[in-house]
Amino acid sequence: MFSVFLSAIFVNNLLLRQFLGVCPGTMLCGGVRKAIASGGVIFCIMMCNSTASWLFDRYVLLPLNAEHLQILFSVLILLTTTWSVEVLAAKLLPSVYAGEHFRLSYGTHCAVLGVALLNLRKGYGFAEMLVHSSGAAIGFSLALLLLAGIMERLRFAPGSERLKGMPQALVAAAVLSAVFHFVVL
Amino acid sequence: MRAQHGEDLSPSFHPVRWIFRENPVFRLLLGLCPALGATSTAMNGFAMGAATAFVLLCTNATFSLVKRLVPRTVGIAVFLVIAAAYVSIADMTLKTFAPSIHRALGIFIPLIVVNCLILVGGGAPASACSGGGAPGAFSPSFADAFGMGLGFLLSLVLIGAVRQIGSAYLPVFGMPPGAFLTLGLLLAAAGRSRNGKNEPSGKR
Amino acid sequence: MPDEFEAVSSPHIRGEETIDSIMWDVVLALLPVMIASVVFFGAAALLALLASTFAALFCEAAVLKENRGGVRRFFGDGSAAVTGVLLGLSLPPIAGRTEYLWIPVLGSAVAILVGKHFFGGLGWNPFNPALVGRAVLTISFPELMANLWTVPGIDGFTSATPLRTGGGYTLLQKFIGNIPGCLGETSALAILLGGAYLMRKRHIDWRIPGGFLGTMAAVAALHTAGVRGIDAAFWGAAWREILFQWFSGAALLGAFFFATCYTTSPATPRGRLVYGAGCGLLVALVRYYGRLPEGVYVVLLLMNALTPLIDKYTVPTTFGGGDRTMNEKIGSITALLVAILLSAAALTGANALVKRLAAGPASERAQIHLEELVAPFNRVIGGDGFLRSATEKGEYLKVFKGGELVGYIVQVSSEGYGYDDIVMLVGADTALAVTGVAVLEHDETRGVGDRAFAEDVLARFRGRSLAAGIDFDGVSGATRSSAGVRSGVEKALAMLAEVVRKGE
Repeated sequence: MFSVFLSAIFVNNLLLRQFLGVCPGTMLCGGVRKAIASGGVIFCIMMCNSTASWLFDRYVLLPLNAEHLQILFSVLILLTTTWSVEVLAAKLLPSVYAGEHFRLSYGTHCAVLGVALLNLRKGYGFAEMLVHSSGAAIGFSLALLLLAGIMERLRFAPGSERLKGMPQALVAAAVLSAVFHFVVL
Repeated sequence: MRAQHGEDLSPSFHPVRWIFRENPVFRLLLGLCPALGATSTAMNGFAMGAATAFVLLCTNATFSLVKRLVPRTVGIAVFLVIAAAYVSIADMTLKTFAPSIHRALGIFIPLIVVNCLILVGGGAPASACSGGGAPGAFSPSFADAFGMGLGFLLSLVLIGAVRQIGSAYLPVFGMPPGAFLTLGLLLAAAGRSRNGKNEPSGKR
Repeated sequence: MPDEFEAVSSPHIRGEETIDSIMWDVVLALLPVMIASVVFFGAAALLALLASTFAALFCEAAVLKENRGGVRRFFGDGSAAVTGVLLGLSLPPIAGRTEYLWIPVLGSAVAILVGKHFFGGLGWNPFNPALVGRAVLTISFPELMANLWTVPGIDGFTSATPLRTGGGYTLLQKFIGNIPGCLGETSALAILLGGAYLMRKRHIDWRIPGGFLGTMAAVAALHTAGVRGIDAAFWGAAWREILFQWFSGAALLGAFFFATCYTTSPATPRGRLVYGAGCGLLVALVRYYGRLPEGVYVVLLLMNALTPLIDKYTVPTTFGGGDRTMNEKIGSITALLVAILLSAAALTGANALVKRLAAGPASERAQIHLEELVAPFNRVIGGDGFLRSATEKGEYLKVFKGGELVGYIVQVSSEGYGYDDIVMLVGADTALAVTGVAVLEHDETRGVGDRAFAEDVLARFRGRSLAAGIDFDGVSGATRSSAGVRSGVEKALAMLAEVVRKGE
């Protein structure tokens, strides 16, 4: 169990090793603070969506033998959970909502959907699913954080324009990907 | 719709521009996840690009037919349902006829649905990928979708080819770090790949 | 008027230090280490170092295209030389053999071009360029970079490093450096000499190596206490362990030369302590509990990535000010992180409970999985009928031929070197002698560990049984993978033995 958790954070890190959530992950503007807050938002969304997806698959699709509808409903559930979390946040935590962190979450559809589907495909039980999803979310936020820190620094670097932004972010991500490759316990 | 670099993307009948000037991967930076994850060989890149293009075209066609009948509020939901349906078809087809490719592409097949390329090229209303453009501001024609799909496909094949050839000399290229490296280097080579994303007050 | 006066911006009184002088001082400090490597590893070391250094200088000159002419221009400001030397020192001695000289060249090229200039040149690299080069090499060629150590001497023979074999060399040998390892790692004496020089010249901050080595010492002492308990001889043993950890592998080299690189370490004093301590802690943890034999380089890269964040959050409070909002934010973030960790821990506990309660679809899926794999079955024992059975230890298949029970097949997972387990099928006949072994999934290093899975290697298991003892030597260089296979076979046979005993 612990190994699932740890591997979800490092060796199978969503962003750096499985390429999910790359879109917002590498286009970080807004810096470290936004990255931290976004990480929190994404954690919530991921957990809610993974749970909802898993429950739906186990108690609706499986009994009805409707596995082929999995993709369809995963997407619908994703939409629903994102929307609900957003609405809830608007009501309960207006400052977070105003910070536009949810914008970032739109780009992470790959990641959130990816985690939900991974849970289903690997045949995880309920607790395993929770552990895997939380680990994945933490790993994703960690990757966001590290990249944000690096990119913030590189903003003022000299060098040709064509290298700045995405290319540098991607190469930095390459190095981090290599590092996480080795974090095996 | 204004693309990230502010150019006016009014629909046109020049699908060719989607291959170079407005290349989805290298200029518009759409669909990066599969561009990194499904390109360990040129063949995988081709398969991924083809599947995505297929979904793109079908979704575009179907959605433009139903667009007028659908109330605005559920616009995006309907769009995603249509896209998901086509993706499921593609998934099942690949699973049955090309299981090795299906396994290689793995989780990126279902993720086609949320591929920004599909949302933009299919004409999704108020899709967040386009920076919250007004509904209906960018209605890609079928020719546009075709061009985008083709551009995406060619880009993926290119990345896949580079990685495949590179990995014969330096095995890094076949692995995740190599994917990032390849895309980073190619993007740098592609030059003028957009915008001022570096600015804190940038659009996203 | 403008011609008579020259306007120059401050500072107007300069010290003697320039980037050049600092960099060349570092090279000077590395001289003892370089000499030691040549002494112990011979001409190979010299070639490797020359190759890496000149490749680095060449790439840098190509990129910079500066106006100063000739030889002076080639040597540049010394930073490329430092990168080249460091990269060379981090390579195994095999890199000096003529057929492998492309390794240091490639490593340096990647280090300078991608690791440094891609990000904006001197001062802007987020990661230590030499480490980036080495990382690319290690991922691409794991067998070359990891397995072939040369015992010192002109023609050495391959052997594992002390960290893998766990000793066999006296502390004094390690101090002087007469042991196998990467070119720059072996001689503690040489490294300390260089480090002392740099500290004397105030080029490196004591906080980084201090934090690094100090934390390592603390963890080593705790580990010793845990392992043998605190008795009369504790301090002696602890101190020996501390020295062993310090002198082994790349710890000293990393602490004094890699971690102290200006660009990739924090600028604030507190930040430097945190950084050094973080490095030391992670290195010690990886060495004791991780699967990597040597984690220094990987840990350093990770800490490099954390440096911007460390810098951000260790800014000393300005006189008269107090960034309360920042502290509040840190507080809330910490609270959030704690909450996350606690919930994760709670979930882990919950899962243990749930597992005990539910048999669940997980085992169903495992059964389906088992049934789908017919082809490998025939590789381990041929049959025309299979009957699925299960004990509480797991499932197995009874194999029938012509209606008669001819044997069994068990699917087992066992731990190998890689992260995921080795999943294999073991076939046995009714006398519980192995008829075949097939590996289904594994995460072993390609080209290295998976040599243990070659057909002829696996065929060695045939005919063995628990009673006769499973005598499997394994494949050299793939020790853990081989051990994984063997333990899997033993597990399978043990389970079958119980099945037969219970007369199922």
